[in-house]
Amino acid sequence: MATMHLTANSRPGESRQGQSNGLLVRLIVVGLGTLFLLVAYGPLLALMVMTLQRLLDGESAWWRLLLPEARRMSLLLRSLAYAVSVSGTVTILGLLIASLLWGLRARPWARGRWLVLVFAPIPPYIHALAWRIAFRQLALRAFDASLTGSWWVQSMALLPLAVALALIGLETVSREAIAAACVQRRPARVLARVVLPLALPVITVGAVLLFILTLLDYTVPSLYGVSVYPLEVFVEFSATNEPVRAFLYALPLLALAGASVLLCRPGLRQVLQRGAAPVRPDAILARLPVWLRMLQGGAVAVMALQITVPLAVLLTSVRPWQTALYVTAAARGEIGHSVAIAAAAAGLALLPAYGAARWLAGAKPARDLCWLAVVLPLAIPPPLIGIGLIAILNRDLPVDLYSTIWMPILASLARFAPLATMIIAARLVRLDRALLEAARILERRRLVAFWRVDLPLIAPAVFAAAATVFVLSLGEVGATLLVVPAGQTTLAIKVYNYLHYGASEAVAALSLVGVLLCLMVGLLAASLLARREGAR
Amino acid sequence: MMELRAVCKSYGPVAAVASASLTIAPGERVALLGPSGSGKTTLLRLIAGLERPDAGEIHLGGRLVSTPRLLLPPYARRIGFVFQAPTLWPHMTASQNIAFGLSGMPRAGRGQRVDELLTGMGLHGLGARYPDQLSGGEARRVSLARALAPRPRYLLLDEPLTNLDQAIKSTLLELLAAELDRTGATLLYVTHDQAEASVMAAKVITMAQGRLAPEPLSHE
Repeated sequence: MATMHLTANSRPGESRQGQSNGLLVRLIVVGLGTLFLLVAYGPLLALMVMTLQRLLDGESAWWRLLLPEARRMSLLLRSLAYAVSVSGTVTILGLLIASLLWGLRARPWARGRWLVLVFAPIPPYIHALAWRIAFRQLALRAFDASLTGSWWVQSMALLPLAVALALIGLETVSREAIAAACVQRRPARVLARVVLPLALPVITVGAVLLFILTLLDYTVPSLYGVSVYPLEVFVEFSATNEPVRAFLYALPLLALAGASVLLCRPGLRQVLQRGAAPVRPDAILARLPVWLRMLQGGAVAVMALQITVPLAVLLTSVRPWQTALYVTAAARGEIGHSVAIAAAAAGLALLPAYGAARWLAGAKPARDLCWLAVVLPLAIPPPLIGIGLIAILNRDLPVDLYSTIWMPILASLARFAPLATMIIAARLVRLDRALLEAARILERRRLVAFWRVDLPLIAPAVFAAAATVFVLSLGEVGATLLVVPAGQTTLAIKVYNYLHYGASEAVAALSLVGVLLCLMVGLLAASLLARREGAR
Repeated sequence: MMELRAVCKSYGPVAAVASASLTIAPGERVALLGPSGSGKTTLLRLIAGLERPDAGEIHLGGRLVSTPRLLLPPYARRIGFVFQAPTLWPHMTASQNIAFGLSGMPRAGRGQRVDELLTGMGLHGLGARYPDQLSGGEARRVSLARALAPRPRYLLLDEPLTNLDQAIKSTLLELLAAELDRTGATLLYVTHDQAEASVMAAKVITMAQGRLAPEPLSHE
């Protein structure tokens, strides 16, 4: 009725204004979407163009770098095995813990299950430091400076994220699908035949993400004296200062990570369909077999270690407190740079992320392809992003960004804008279109409708996206290590560099500052998530 | 015999079921009629063991199955449940969905039972299809066949024919009545359609704001 009334009374001038409003919005979305592509793919594209030029110039020596020789091949295989074992371990542990947390849904303190996210943003190198001290104190030589130690630390660093991803997977399974199975079969069979197969696509996405994060990270292995392929890319560029060589070195890694993203296509679609109705799975989970309960208990014990060991080790290592306060005060410049870079990246990521998310939510015929375009940048090795930015900006340009704080900001944007896009797009896809259409009918100014209806509806996702980019940028080392300007080092890089000279109370104090910053943002995000669920 | 004694269930301040008492004789067919939000679905979920009552007792076949402290698992109640939506598992074919509850049966017998139900429900030749390859009416029939497959002693149907056209509704009601005649199962049929209620059940109970009407209406 409202639509008919408005249409009947609308004048030709208003109709034209409505059309130009719509066109303006479309132009803004296209502009922001293009900005996303530039931000996320710019460094890689620059390297590809440079490489093509070199290859076409007939420099045949470059062609040989495309195929890894024996040493690089063995490094690649080692990195692959390492990433598979870490992602396999944390996926299984995460699933066991998530299945326990999932069962807490019906109880009053169920909302606390998202507190696990609080520990997710603590950077891996801080875990590396804490566990190294713990291994030495416990005289665990097999874990100190070895592949086993690196595997354990990387697993511990990724465990909270693995639990959160598995929880999202389990919560995509509809309540009715579980109830229909519960009236016919025992809980263990319901779990095996219905819950796990239905959650599998999302769990696969989680496993692939964990695999990529491990495959592309060199910070933890390098601190444990283990050489991995991404470190080789970094070392190659540092030694030769030749972006094309580094790009050709990184190609196998890029191909592996890209191929694994392609594998999780079906799950990506399902991530968006996370059930809006709360699931109460206590009917099955209350009666699981003893062996499964024991495994869940074991996984929870590992999680308890993950939380307590780093905190306890760091807290006991920073004595005397006067030293800790002195070190922290001396590093206030680095802390300030870190917060400024992370805040700028978080704020700036929202615009391209929103544009790309709108484009993604509206794309119908090629939605899978659009999703891949957004997710694929996650497969770019971090050193390559830094090298790409240097290749683009280290030249005579009208505006000189090289050697400024913009370099680490752009590196963080390139790395984490895809994640921000995914978070906002997931919310946009699940929004009831009727709510937005009602606003279009009643308010002809699109920007006012956006401000008063669209934005409040997507606000939780926008905040979550900003918080994610902020905390990840705080701990970013892989890309920023190459581009951070002299005199403007971040806290993460300072700690990472110190760690190579061994652990000390100064490193522990700085790490503790990093942990506290991450915990504050993590706590804020988790409490907002829990409050939102409480309101549902 | 299905018996509910002063069963209560609340969600926060909302009393979904308030002191519901009900007795249904073996083989009896009862329709539960009431507006949306009156607590019909919650009552079915309580009987199925998918929810735990806050107070009261539920007995099935003379056995105490639900109290606030005791909850016999749903799979052990010999219940068939059809939900408002078909709720077929998308990773299983129609046949696999129907066979899910037949784990205690030998493989050959299982196949025979599935074929029998597929034919009975007019789904012959559709067993290998996945839920997204079935029409709305076909999916409902598979869902009904899945509930009937293990020959349940109690059949709980929660508005199983909502949003279906009249022709499909009539066919399904006939199929259901025939299956009940064969098995002698007790039926509790939730609907808000008076006509459907009178076709399926000998007795109609009404429910409003979580309370059951004191006197059931009888068609006999």
